[in-house]
Amino acid sequence: MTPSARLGDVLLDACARTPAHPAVVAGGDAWTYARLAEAVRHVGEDLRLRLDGTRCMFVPEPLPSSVATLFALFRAGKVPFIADPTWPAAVLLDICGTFGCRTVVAGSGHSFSEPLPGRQPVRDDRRSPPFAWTLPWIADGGALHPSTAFVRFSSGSTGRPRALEFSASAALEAAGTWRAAAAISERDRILCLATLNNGLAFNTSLLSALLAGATLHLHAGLPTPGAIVRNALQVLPTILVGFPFILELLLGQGEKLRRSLGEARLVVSSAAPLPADVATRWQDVTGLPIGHYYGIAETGPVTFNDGRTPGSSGTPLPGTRIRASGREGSPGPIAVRTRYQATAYVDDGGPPLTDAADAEGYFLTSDLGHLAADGGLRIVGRAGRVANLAGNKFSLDAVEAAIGSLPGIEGVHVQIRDGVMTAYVHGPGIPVDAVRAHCLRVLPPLQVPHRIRQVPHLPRSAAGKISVASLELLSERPNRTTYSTGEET
Amino acid sequence: MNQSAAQADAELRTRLCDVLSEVSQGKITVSRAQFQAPLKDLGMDSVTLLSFLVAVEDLVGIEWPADIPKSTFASIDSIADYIDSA
Repeated sequence: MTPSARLGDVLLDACARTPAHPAVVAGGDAWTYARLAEAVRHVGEDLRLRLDGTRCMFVPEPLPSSVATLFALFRAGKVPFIADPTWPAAVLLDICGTFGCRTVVAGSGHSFSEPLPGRQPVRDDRRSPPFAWTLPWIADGGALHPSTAFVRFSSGSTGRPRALEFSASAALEAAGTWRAAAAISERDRILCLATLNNGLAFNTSLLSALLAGATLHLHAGLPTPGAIVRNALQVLPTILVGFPFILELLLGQGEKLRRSLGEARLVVSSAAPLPADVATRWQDVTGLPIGHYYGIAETGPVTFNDGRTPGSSGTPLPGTRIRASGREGSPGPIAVRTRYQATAYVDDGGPPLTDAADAEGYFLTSDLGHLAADGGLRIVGRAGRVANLAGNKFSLDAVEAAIGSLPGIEGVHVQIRDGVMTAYVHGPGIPVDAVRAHCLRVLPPLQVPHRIRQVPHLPRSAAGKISVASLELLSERPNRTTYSTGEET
Repeated sequence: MNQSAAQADAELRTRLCDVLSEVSQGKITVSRAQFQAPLKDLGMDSVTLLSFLVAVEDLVGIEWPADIPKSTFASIDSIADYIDSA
């Protein structure tokens, strides 16, 4: 049996335990575990006969049929590369070429930005059968690691996405660990607002939910706060999963949001820090704290905080290890190891995964922090944000914290480009010369930004990370106030 | 279309453009000649679209149905046409 087929079989075993229970619900379509199993078998057999090779690019959708297709690919012994459904067609094809995927599989509801050639329906009598596209001009990428069952992509926020190989054992171990941490049972209704390719959804809501017999509700359709809350009012989720940005938008729904979470026991966010004021307002509106986990794409979840310890990224999950040499006030690098981490990067000409881990298998993350006395991990910044100006090494996060201590400042982002340090400041009514005066008071001279720019807000990506490109666009507008020390040479 | 209806129609499009400019912090400005232009080509991203749709709900007092086709949000014209028919 191939590693991926093992995952398909494990799901079928789970389906057999509670056949009549709803498994996946979305877009007005509710599939029981029996129906899910039937589709996995049926589509899996067709995909096995139809598709050449092992590698297959899979484009997920928030639909029960799409979940079935993923497990059908497993059942067929294929190794799905789980794509980002927002990739334009040209990007998708480019990535297929890079990683040697000659086949693309997507649901009938997925609309590519432009048609892909070679579309073939997969035989299935259901409402939303998947389609397969064959890309004959792409050379098959050949064998992967013998244990590889599926491939996930890194976010690509620092460059081209890298493809990570995971074993079936890793997937099952990760699902079991998260299931235990979040105490997921068949009584749970998990409303997941992230797409299935994303780590937040994949780690918290897919295998861990289905192997527990829970019901996974995916939000199909428009992700506006109104539509989400209307969906949630019908689902009455026991667990809500969403990015910080979406949770923040949901706060505008007020009383409806509170009612929609009347049966919720856990809200989980990840991927980006949750602003403290959002956490507070969320608690005020819903009566629930927002939980959080910390992890990186290579390792999966490392810690979990159910929301009861503000400011903490949580305590290590069973079987995970953290090395954090920093201490409070002096953050250090963080290295992590889990029992379910990736086996390899799919060969793309880049450095191998072994370069990212030490001899003991610890991955050095880009984050800085320390382990607190309560055993919880505190993340305070990114290692890549350690500046070196004229031989003076310091943390850009410390500069941000110093600027942020000026009353009225609502957000700060500091970056260095070509040796010039710029502080983007959001603080309505705070003149830049007041910010400068404050910097001169509280920072060593070499840590005072060369430029201070007022921006109307700090633009963030959907995952809540600062969008540097948008920030630069914003600050290029002529009506933004700029202060320059004139020290840049 | 009578004159007052045509005027209301034009005003709606202008207001939509104003809202879009506001939520995108000036990143996306749409001229009258661009009412039919794909918003994606004018710099619309998924986060801005979401903020825009929330603002339009407040502006015209509608709630977008969850199953609305994505093509509704292709351009200022297509959005205005949907609102007119809602």
